Amino acid sequence: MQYHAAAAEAGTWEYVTAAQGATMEEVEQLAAESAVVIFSVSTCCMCHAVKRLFWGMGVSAAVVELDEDPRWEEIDRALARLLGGTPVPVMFIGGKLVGTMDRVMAAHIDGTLVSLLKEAGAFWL
Amino acid sequence: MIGWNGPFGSGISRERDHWSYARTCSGLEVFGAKRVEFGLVLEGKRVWQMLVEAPKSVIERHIRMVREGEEEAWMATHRIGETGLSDSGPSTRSVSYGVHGTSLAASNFFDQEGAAYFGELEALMQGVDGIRETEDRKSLFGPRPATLEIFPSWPMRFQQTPRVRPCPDFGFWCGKKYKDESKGRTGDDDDDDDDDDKRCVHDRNNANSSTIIPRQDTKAPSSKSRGSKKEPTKEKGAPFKSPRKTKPGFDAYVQQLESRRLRLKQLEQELQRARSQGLFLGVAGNTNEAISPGAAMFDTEHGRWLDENCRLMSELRGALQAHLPEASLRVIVDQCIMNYDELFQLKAEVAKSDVFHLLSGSWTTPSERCFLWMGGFRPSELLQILIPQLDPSTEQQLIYNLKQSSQQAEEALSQGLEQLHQSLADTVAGGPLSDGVDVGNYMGHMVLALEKLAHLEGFVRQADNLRQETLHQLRRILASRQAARCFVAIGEYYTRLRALSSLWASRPRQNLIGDGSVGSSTTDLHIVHPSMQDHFSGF
Repeated sequence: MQYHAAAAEAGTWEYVTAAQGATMEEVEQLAAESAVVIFSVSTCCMCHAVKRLFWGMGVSAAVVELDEDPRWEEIDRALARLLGGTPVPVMFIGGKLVGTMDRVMAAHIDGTLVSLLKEAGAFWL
Repeated sequence: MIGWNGPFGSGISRERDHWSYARTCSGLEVFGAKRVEFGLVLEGKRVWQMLVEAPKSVIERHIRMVREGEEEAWMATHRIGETGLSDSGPSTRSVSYGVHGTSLAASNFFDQEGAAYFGELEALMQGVDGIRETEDRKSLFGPRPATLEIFPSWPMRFQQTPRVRPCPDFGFWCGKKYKDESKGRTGDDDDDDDDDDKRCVHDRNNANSSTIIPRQDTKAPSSKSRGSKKEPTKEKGAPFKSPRKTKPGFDAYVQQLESRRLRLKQLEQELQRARSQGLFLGVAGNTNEAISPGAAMFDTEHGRWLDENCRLMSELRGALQAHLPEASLRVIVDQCIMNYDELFQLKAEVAKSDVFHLLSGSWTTPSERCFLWMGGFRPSELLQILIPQLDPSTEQQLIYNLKQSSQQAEEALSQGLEQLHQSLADTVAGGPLSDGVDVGNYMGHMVLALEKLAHLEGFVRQADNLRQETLHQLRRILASRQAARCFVAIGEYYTRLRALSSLWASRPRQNLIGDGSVGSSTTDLHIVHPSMQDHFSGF
């Protein structure tokens, strides 16, 4: 998986403590809990847009609101390590990272988003 | 006889032909030709036809009569002409009645330069008219060269006061001493543009020639000595003046045109200089607020992009009509895609510096602005237009599915933006609104609001991303030929939309006083803006 490969890079892991390493696994774990997982911030409007997108498609997504989660700093750092910057919202479908809004939009236009969702069993079909 | 499309064919005249024609023909024929140039400059051929129809016949009659050298015939024709032309009112205004009606309105229609041209033409018409008034004066028919037909010997009247004289009815022909015209006039006359149309429009800055000032103006000659002293005869493109055939009024008019062209060049240079200094006056509509350098840069680049896009569209159209093989079509279609990518790149750059410029749509034409969604076109609308253009039903189905996806994405983004609006409104309205301002909280709220505004850029970026992906997907799902047809259709659609804006702007309205853009009281005017020539390329 993508973030495992990123985690294996030497430089970024020098300062990583066990807790932070665990955060990656936590992220992974959170991502695997549901077919669609969105890491978002409750006040972020772009996150709202992403949620609307999935709800509009009839997909029930599990949302992790970072500002309401006590581990938000670590998760934020892990996500930043994965994608660079402070990306929110971040989508995981079927435990796999899809990316930020850019990628989700592109995937939706491509048609790949729908196929990913179908694979993950996100549709009520 | 002067034909409207006479020696200049379909109305296209080159300056060279013009001047050579001037050398060989009489003044009026040259003037007729000059009016062709008027029409070309203003690209309002029908207006000019309307304007000159009536007086042209008068002038032609005059030419004929003068050539035959028969005063009585002239007077007889003059009387006929009078009855033929005037349907009401005094003869003094019979020639110019049509001109008046249109020139007032048209002067609002065109820019100020155009108004000056109209004013001059009208003045000339009044001059033609004025000849009728003075038919009793035998001095008119004194010995004169065959080329000076309708212009009376004003020099008799004006030689006493060479510098400062009131402008008679003959407009800009007035007061031109025969000898003075060898010096000509130059300089700018933009300060004349606001004058009443009936008054002559002259530049007051030239020290070389006898300058004419408007009636109410009594400027001292010293004001005329500012500005550059030019030798018009040495100007590039200045008309050849044969001493024998020099017509004072015509040369003056020609010099005026030259001076205006120079002035236009000067203004353009000033504009470039101001732009390079970072301050640029918005050209859209009536607004005079300065727009940011990023936005100004984007506007310029967008103009260039439009030209490039038009070029690619016509290339694609040509390739389709020539039934080129798929491989060649693919190359051109890929070029089109790259062209669109450039546009999105430009928009991304300006979104960083001035997102409001994109959102306001001032870089688009008014009719495009109608359809503006997040600083650009709505992909699903575009796809909706394309569906009927494709023949096979399978491809139509593909486009339809793409349109559905796009619509879902647009909906999501719109709702996100609405959330942003709500949040921003709440922040700005935070704290008491009617009980006075709490300074501490005020700044806090403002800072929050600023942070929220920053998210606008993200939305515009996502919208552009959606547009770009949609176009790319369109390219992917269709065969090269079909994709080429789609892109040509898109180009044609936007060309028409832009043309619609121009047509809307030039539509006839009731009010004579323009609101700064366009106004005309004549219902059958159909003035084509210069910019429209490009937009009609696809028609």
